[in-house]
Amino acid sequence: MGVSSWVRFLNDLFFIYACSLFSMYTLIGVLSIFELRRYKNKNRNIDYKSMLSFYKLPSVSVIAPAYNEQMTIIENIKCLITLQYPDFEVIIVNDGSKDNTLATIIDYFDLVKVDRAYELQVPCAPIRGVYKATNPAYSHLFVIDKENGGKADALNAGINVARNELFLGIDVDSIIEPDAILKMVKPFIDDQKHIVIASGGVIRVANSCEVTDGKISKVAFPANMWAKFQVLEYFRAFTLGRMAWSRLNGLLIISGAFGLFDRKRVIKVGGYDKTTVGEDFELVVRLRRYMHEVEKKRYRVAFIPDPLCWTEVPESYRILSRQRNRWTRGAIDTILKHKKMMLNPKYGLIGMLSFPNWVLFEWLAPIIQAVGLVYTAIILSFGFDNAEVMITLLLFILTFSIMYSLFAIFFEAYTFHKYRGMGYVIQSILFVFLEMLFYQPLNMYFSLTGNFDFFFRKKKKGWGTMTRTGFSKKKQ
Amino acid sequence: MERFFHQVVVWLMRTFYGFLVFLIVLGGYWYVHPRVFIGGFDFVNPFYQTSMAHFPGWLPVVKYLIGLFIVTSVVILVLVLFFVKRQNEAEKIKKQYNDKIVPLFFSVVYHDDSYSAEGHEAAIKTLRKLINDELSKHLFLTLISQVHAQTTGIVKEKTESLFRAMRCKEWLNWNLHSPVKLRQLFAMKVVAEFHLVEYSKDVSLLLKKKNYILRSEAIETLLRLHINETLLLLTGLKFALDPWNINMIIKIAIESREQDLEYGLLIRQDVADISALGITLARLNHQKELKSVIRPKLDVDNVLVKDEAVLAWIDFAESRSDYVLLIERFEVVSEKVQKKILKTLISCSDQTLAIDFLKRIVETKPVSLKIVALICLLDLDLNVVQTYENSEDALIRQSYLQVISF
Repeated sequence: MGVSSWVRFLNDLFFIYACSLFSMYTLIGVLSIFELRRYKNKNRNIDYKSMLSFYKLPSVSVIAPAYNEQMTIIENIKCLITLQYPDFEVIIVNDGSKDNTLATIIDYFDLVKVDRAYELQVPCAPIRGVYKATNPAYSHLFVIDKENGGKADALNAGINVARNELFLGIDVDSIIEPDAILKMVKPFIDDQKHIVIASGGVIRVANSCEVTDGKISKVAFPANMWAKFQVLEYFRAFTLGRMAWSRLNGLLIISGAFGLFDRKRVIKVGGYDKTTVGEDFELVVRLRRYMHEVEKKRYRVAFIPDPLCWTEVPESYRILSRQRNRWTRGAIDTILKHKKMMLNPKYGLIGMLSFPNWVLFEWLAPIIQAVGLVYTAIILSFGFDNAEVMITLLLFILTFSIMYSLFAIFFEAYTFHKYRGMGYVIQSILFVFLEMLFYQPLNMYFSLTGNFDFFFRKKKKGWGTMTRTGFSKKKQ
Repeated sequence: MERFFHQVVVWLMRTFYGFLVFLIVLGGYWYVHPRVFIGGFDFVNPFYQTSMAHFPGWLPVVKYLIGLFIVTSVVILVLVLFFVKRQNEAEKIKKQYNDKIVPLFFSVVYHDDSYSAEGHEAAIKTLRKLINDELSKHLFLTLISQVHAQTTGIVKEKTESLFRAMRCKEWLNWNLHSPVKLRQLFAMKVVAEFHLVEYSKDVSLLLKKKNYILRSEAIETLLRLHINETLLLLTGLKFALDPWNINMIIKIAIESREQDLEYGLLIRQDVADISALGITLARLNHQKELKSVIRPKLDVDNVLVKDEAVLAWIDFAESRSDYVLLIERFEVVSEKVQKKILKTLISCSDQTLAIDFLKRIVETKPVSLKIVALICLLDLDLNVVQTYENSEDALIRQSYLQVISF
């Protein structure tokens, strides 16, 4: 086979991959429309506050691991203890912080050390003590002080100490909407056909938003360039992607920043995996495996599209690269740990579609993208093929990506419309184009380094520290 | 008539989408074929590129798709701008509603008797003039329903007279008979809040709909209109109720304060949800005389019914044999109910029976139950609790410490 035949063959290969990827995205777009329509029709007239006087609701433990959060912890706890739900407790897990996180909480909420009995049902580092407020107004607040062990370890400690049927795993620095638990619990009590084992929610970017008393008082489009890109990215990932997978009951990830789980089932599968940095992804995959292999019952992982959780996203290159690197390593680790599920009909749609989608279009996409770019450069430099073919392929990819991002913006404008004004629309459209040239290649680079670090450097797990400015301070 | 137009619009939309897909396919076909044959006629394709022979076979398709993506992007952009503009207009209407309609509404509803009849008439006229679009009407109906539901006495009467004066029933009829589900759902909420029994028949018709959401809302509305008749209607339902429905039914039944419900009939039903619902309602309304009807339900296989029956038995327990029955069923109920059984043992006349059982729980069950059992033992016999201070089992010692320190 001559060079030109090879070039043609490779061109065809890239074209087929791009077509499969775009078909998948098109499917996601279409499914997300159906799912969102169903959700809206079902829940538009629901008065969630009526749930507060329901006779039978599952009890919930909110578990929030904290590591070096002294600057924002009080505001965050205030937000959590004022959530609307009839039967819930808040468990803050101080994961061996090196700053004054624990002392700050103890002082502010007037906590005392108590003897709270618990069983070590899932593995976690030694717990030094459990604290409880003396003020009855905070009687549902508990603080666990433990030795440092990472986020998964801290969540496991919380699961051990928790007493309730469900637990909501959250990032302590996130801002949760007051009715978030009510909305997240609803799928657990309104599904006749399935056992709901977990429900996930949409995460929104809180940078530049105004926060008063631990609640978002004014939503604003971020001022920071990096955050703007991530707003678009979150639109695509949550509003489109996860909605569509939820429609198929093929959702494989619930964000670690905000997810409600059936505590007993999580204990049965051994809790969060402490050896991975993608503990949120890994837990959902393991729970699904357990349901297929052990319980063998009809089950579902639900997803709530309402914006219920707001989080600060990285505002600098350095932190963003670290976060993305960690996400990539977590995803690879989970995929390899559960490779048995790949194209395995025993796991139904998960094995035949969701898992292969993760492998082909999440893990391998940046690698194939990078190879494609290098290939294009070589072909054009050496004149192996007509420039028109390569430019057409490039335009094909660019125009589809732009269309998909615009669709995500449309979806937001049509449904939740959290950001207001024409200014936001114009900015976001501008950033759709900038993203193609600037942010996407960088993201690809972060993923490549993640791959490299996973296979060659064996980076250690860790909290992936993110410098936060703190919402309340920002408002001042 | 509106239903007919709605169907026409739906079919027009479907035809439009079908035509769009056809155009896309036809466009793709035209782009890659030099000639097009339609009905025996041979057309030269003006879009066909003669140069395509030098390129991979898929290149024309790609070019065509690029064009399609660009056109779609432009359409999406226009739609984004349209929706943002529409939302902004809705914001303006909401602002006007908050600034003008809401204060006027409250001045009518909460005014004292010195407010003149002319002033009242004028206010209503102004309200009618301001509420001239669908969104304002929707917001107004929501507000008046909420105020009506949350108030009593003269204010409630005034909302009713304002409801009539504003001819709200016309809007309500329009919404209830609309083919749009969201409007029907909204109308049912208003019917329920205003207790408009004359709409019972219309709402009953919605019970037969395939749509789960409409059916659920119809049940809720009918329950608010006629609690007893609707509860009986549930026994003949051909679809299952989910825990959300059950919760809602219990909430409405309790709020109605109706005591004379057909509990027995519900409890005896074979359908687990309905039977459990009957037991719950009997328990919450303290219908102790139904113990004999509930008794057989203590031994059914269905966990939901068994749990409810045990909970009812806890509330109605009096004699030693009642407590023995509860102890015997401890292992087969959910943990929540187990905790309640433990707590009720404090009232058992036979303290030895209670203490022995609680001790067994402390020694054999998980921490969460150990703690409840120890708390109950604290009430019954402090000496027994103290025996666990130096227990060999670390979990019992921990539980002991927690109970003592709390």
